[in-house]
Amino acid sequence: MTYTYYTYGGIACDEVIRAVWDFLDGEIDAAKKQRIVTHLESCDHCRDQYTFEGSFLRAVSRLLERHEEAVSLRERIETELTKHGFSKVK
Amino acid sequence: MTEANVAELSAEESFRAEALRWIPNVARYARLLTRNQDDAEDLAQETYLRAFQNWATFRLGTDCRKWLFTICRNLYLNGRRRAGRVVLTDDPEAEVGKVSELYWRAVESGIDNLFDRIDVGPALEGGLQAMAPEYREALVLVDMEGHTYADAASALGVPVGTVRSRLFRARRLLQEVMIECARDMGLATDRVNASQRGAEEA
Repeated sequence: MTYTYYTYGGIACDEVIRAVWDFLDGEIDAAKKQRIVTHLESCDHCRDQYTFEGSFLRAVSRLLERHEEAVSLRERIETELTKHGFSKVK
Repeated sequence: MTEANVAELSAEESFRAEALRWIPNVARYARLLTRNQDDAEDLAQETYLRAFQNWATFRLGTDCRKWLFTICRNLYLNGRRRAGRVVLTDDPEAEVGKVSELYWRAVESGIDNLFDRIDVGPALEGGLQAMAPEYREALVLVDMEGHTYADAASALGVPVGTVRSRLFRARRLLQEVMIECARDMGLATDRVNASQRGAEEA
């Protein structure tokens, strides 16, 4: 399956999509970022995929909330450290 | 109080201020590396013990969280049997070329709005635990701990391109799990003609 690509902002759909995660991660230079922003303002197809990928990355980052450590861990670590010269704060 | 005591106290204070505040992050990282709560707590404790013993080598003003993650990861790797490792494909360009695959599968299955319909957290959690550690740790550092590619590369001791490749691969693996989960839940509709992608060429 192949698709028609469009060029907006001086950058084509295929290049925009190849940069989707770099863009969302803030890992591209300012000039390319601006071209992609301009492209997304005009291209519904690429904007839909950026929305999908952005939602996905937000869902992944929310996994942090599922990994809250046991409250006792800090106590356990500080107790262990006191055996090696650390002064526990009361 | 002797000068040595003053210096010792100062080191303790700086350790308390700089290192202990990252316990939740180190614990999460250890949990994601080991996939076992008890092993994770042991690893986190060992990380802090090693960090405390080597605190003099930490340069104040640099990224303490990254330093702790490096210790944690090295301890984990040192203690882990390497048998049965998967062969990794660290090819950034190959991964970049596949970015759209899962998106279009989602579109064609009518589940591109999946995030509005179900809590994908459990599926993602399962996928995260099942993937190879090398992929998982890249994803944890960048997507969950907010590292830049360069910082993650430094923490993992690999080139930036390798981090990028492993990160993208990890994301694709999670998207596959997510889409399979939606299919299992009966949400997929196989609406191939819903690609909404403009003119489709034969």
